[in-house]
Amino acid sequence: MRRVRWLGAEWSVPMRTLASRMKAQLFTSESFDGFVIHRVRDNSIEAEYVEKLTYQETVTDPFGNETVFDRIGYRRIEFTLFSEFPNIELHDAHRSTREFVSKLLELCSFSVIVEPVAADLLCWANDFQRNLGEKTVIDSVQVSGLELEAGIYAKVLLKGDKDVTAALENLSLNRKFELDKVQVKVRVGQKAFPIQMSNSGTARIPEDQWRELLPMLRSSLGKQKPKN
Amino acid sequence: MAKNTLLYCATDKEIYDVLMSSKQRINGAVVLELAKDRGIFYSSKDSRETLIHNLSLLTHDYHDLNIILDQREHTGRTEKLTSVTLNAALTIDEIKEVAKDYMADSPSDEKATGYQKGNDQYVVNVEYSEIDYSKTRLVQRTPKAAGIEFHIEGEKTVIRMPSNAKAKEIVQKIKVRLDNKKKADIPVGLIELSEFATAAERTRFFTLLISTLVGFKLDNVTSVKVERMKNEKATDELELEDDQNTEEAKQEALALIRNVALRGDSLLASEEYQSLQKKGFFITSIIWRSKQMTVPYPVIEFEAAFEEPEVGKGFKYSVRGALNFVEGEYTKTLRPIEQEVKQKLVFLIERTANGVISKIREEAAASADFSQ
Repeated sequence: MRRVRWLGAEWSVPMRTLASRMKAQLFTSESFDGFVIHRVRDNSIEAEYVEKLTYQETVTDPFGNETVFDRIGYRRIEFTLFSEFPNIELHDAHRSTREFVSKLLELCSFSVIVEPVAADLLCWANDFQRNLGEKTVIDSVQVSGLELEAGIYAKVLLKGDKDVTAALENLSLNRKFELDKVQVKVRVGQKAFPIQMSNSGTARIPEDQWRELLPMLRSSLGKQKPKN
Repeated sequence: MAKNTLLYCATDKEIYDVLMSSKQRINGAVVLELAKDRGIFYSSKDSRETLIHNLSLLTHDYHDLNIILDQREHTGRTEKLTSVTLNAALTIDEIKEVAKDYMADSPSDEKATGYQKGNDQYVVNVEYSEIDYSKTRLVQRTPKAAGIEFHIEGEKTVIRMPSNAKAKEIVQKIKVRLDNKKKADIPVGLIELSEFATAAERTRFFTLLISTLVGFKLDNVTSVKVERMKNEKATDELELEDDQNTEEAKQEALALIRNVALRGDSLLASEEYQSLQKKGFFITSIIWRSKQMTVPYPVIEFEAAFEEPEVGKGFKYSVRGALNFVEGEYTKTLRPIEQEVKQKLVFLIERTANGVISKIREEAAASADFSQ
């Protein structure tokens, strides 16, 4: 499974300008960090942010002798920036996006808004089904804040071999709850594969379907652009 | 008579007050421990007030009182620093002589000592008392220390000191002595933004400062204070003496935000900050974290602010601590930084701040040329 995370942003500069600023900070063999640009279009930039880490690793043998090795590691954030919502797409990024956001801020002369996405999962899943043109099944949902009694809340995970949304409705009985995650089963021919989506705008897609499904998930999320 | 006898003793009420005044440091467990040292076991179910009431009624000798005061005394927050540059060639001997002169003349409530550090540094340590009459009698006096450092850098000398009135007063006194010695008024350089009148320039100082620290990469901005630029009255404005207009102006002023403090993560990318910036607010104080780009990649937390934000004067700064990279992840809380490393980082802030001011000055001059 590969992970993707979307963020919203309000750019103060066009994509081409942003790309030219990235070009001024390209990653080279001498630099600590920088960008590797793959593709620039009027409305998107595909690139990587690379950080070089050099450190020493100490190995102690059974006789107590220490050997120190110089190691070099690279931390990479593969991303695509779009002029349209969702504006930032991070591929398999580690949890903390702070450093990356700080880098974007610098590129935009500290004049950019970066915001997490708050997705309506059922709408997103429905739009995705429409984009795909195939019947999909929501076979798992994770719900939190389901008020059982006054002051008592439940976190529930529903799993099934068929659509669980009807069961969720029966369970919730019109009570308030928060839909945290859904798993959508997509059936292609004999094969079925899961896609997990969360309300913070992240998704997990099977590696084989990555290229095919990623643009559909993105465009269906794009329909949820927050209204200013 | 009664006044004199009270001078050297603490009454039960004063002991009660001092124990009660510091809820965090002297909690129930500490009070129980203090009693246990005297061989008294109170119930742990008693309230803190009851425990303190009982304890304060006991006889306390000088040693007992000191134990209580030690419990209460806090190490104090590290004060922010500020610096003054004396633009004149001074030798270490000249500074030493003047400092010794000051130490000999220092007021009776101060204890000043000095020592040379390396070939180009001289440090004057002043221990003094800060009195706060609003506190209970036993804790009115807080012992404080101000380390004033003189760094000789070729044709100029940088004086680094805690950013408080006392340290500034001492530096002023030493400077007067240096002036007399040199028989000239030594020109003083300060990190100030008073020449920059626009909110954009003031904010640019901070954004450049946090993003251009050599060897560091901006990681996070956790606290920002912004203030509204005071609009100077346009001189060519029509002055209509109209009661209705005055009334309107009054009503507008009611809903006027002067400053806003934001705390969180990646604050400069937040919608709230960006909208304030667009409305003409500028940064007056910032706490940020930067990652050092050399092994072992610590994330250092810095703070920079202006004492008088409206006029952009009184630049003060500090290095608050570090998040260390231990076993593959960063520590959750800030750890103290070695004094030597701290000094280098402080120097880095000063140098970067001076560089940033020159840069903004150049940019302003270039845009003025362009508009002409």
